[in-house]
Amino acid sequence: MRPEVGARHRQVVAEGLTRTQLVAYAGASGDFHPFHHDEIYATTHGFDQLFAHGMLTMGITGEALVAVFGPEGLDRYGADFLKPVWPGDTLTTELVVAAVHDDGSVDVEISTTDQHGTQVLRGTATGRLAGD
Amino acid sequence: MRSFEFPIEAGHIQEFKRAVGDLDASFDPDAAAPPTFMVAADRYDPDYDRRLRSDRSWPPVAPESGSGFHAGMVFEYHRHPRAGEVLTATVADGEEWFKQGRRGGQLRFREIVTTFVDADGQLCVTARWINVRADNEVRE
Repeated sequence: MRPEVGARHRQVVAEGLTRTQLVAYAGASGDFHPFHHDEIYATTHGFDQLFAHGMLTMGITGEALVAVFGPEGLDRYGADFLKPVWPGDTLTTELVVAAVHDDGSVDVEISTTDQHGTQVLRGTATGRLAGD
Repeated sequence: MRSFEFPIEAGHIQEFKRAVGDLDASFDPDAAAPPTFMVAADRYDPDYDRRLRSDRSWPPVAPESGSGFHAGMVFEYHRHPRAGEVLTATVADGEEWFKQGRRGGQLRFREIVTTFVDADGQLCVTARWINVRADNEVRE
């Protein structure tokens, strides 16, 4: 990704998200809220099925950020969780450079969409691009 | 406000990386924490309630309780922690604000701010958890 306003990076960050990955994330994060692994609990409480943690969607999206900023290049990463992410969803993240600062850091706008084109996460990040 | 220790373990980083899609992440004893890894500090928070606990019934947080939903998250990285460090996490209430909901009614947003400092007392990461719920109370 070039440090120029309007430069883009697009990456498929999840292909057919599995229930197993949701369970793996519950274990890794420690967040065992039953919405994210207990189908009966989720449907009893008004959802069609269980759904991903917002933080899993943010973590998956973070893989695209690591691809362009490197493992230690970020200064800030923020996200809003807009829609539920369901098992079977394929997620694509697009990063667009919104500003380039005098110190070489850049601001990027983040959008993660599902296979229907629905935006499930919106965010911003600031940091120094890898290799820059 | 409460504080607890968060040991940054290489095996935990490997497990977390695999869970967020780096499926073949290998064990790296010097790994840097992934961007959202600090949320996994919840494992070490003695007051965290999204886990089985001997002193509480399960599940502890039901939607009808009015606790709301996780609407967003912000991480500010002053330095990226690495495996082998032990950080001190301090959790405190942050800002609160209100917005008009799309379907009418009011939404209450509330921040929970966790700061992570290293063994030298230097700030590494600030994490802001943003919770939202419908607010039916009349405010002055």
